[in-house]
Amino acid sequence: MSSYNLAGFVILFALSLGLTFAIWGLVSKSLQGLLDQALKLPEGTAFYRRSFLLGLLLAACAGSLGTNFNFKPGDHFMEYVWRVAGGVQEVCEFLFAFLLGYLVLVTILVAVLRAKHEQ
Amino acid sequence: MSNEQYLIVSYFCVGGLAIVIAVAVYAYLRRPLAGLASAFPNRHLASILERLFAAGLVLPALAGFLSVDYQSCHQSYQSIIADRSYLVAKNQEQVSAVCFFLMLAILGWGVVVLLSLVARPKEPVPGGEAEPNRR
Repeated sequence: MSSYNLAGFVILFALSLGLTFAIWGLVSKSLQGLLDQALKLPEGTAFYRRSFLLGLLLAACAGSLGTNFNFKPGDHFMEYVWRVAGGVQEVCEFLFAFLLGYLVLVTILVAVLRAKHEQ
Repeated sequence: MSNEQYLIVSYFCVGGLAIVIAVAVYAYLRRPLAGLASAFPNRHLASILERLFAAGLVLPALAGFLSVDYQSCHQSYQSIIADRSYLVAKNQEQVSAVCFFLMLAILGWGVVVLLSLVARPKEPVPGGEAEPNRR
């Protein structure tokens, strides 16, 4: 792997991690409040928060590691840029799929447990 | 290192890495799950959940690793080991599949924990009826 290929991969990986921690930073506190309210069990809150962070990280890794940089030294700069863009698109798809699944899960969790607490 | 040696070494290294990633995920989630399980009145359910959790993460990781097929595009073994960049791409694909399968496993375990929480009886009120289902 040439140094340009390695640099392309590192940039893609850094962007993926940046996206992951941006999402985590945006919803982490609200998620904790919601889970505390719904579960009333600190271990439950810890489990679902850690699952969320792990899922985001795994989605980012799955997306970025699936992108292959095999350019030759003479290839153009924009080809690297397009490959990084393709990788970021894949990361976004994985993150979106995970967020969708997780949101459905948490919505069901909150709805079912609220109904149970109100009984 | 020849391409064939690289193929052998990288295949087993990525297989080991899959197990290491799964064990790391297990180590990070083990304590909250054990704490949750200890809150279940039914000790058998708690014990089953705790024991199956490790297997429920390592098996999907291995499934992801094994899901990548080296012979999907190339027909012969010789043509597979002729191209080093193809081997590197397959290694990346394996790690990517491991991460994806683990992500699905985490969502699956979230559903299992949800169902266990829903099935959990309400906390007994002091002085109220006897505690149900305690074993």
